[in-house]
Amino acid sequence: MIALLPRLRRFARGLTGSEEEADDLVQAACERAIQRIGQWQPGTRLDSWMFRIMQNLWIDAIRVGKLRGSHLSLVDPEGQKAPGMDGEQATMNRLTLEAVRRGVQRLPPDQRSVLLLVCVEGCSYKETAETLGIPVGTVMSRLSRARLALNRMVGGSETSILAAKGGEA
Amino acid sequence: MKQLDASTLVAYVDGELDSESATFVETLLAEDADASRTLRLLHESAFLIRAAHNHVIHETVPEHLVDTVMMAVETETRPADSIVPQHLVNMILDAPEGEEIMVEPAAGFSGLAEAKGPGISMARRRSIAAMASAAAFAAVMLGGGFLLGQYRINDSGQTAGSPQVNVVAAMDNPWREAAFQEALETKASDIAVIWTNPETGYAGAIIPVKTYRREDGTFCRAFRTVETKTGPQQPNFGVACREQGPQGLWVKTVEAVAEVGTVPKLSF
Repeated sequence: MIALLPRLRRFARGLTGSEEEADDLVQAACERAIQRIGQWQPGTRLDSWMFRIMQNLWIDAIRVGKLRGSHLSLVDPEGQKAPGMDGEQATMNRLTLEAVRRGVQRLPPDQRSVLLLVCVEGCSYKETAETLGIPVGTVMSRLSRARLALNRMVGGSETSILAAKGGEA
Repeated sequence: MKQLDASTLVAYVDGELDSESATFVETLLAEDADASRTLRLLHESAFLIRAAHNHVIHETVPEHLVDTVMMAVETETRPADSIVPQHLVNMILDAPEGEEIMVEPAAGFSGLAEAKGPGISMARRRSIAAMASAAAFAAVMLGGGFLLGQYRINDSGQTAGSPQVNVVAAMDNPWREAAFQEALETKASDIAVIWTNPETGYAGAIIPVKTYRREDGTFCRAFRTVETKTGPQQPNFGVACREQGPQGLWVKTVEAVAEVGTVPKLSF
């Protein structure tokens, strides 16, 4: 579980868009998982199980209005420059990635979690379906809606996308 | 995008189509400029989505989250020095090359006897642990002489080796494994079992830290390990569960590197 913490934090950050809320969510998920460790089947993937717990806690929190469900912190932690990149390009990349994060935060929660599991956590459609307890067909439809919406949100200026891609360290 | 629906195209980008469907998509893409453009954008946005979130993985995990995992099931406050007794670590470090450190085997005490209740109720009872702790430490002796627990080591050591792994590291496996089984089967939480391999000169300790019972009745224990020779990424924390049956062996289910201040860092 400790080895999983960085990935749990990444998933939580993608869901909530805020460092503070994300770490609160990770903490709540770990506590819930420890309470219910007996329900985890050894031999199955601990990460999928933890993601599922986290997703459920997050949805619950949104429902009861504890979380707004969508916002971004103003301070961008992505301040670093890739080596050999001039300042203008670094800024461009940062802005592009910021736009992507903001775009992800604008997605409906259901689409956001599918998108993060597939595109960021590298889960297969089947794993994602099992983690979230939904059919594979639902994964596919939510994912395609999310991806096309993101294409529209950030794909308007292709040059910025290509600049960011070229700047990958 | 008349012939290709969005889900299929996205599944193609994600490598989720079988080869027949993928070939079909590629045929259609060759004739459909709009779809090709969408495809390119999908590839790029997949990259961007990952890049936009990936920095979190490289951040230092806040200590309170590590503590949550390590301590959340504790209902009492654990004294800072009780996880890995420093003098045990020192004893391992100070042992001369080839010298044996002996630990009496069972001492008639079963850590499992403490565990009860459903779920993850804590098994540790401080007073019992403290008494057993004193007994175990008194039984640790440095120097030559006969090894009380040796039959256990020989018993379980034969199956532990593996031809593929590093030969020198594998030489310690029988000793490590014997101590592992002994610690989890017979020691209370926070009581270490020390192993030394006279042939390699390396030593280590296995320390059970928590005991709990799963809902199916299986006992599981979290444990820590300390070794005189270890890399920075070697697991030093894990959870093992006991196989059903009277001869049940303890099998690791989780292993991890715990970055917490309470584990002494050994550098060699």
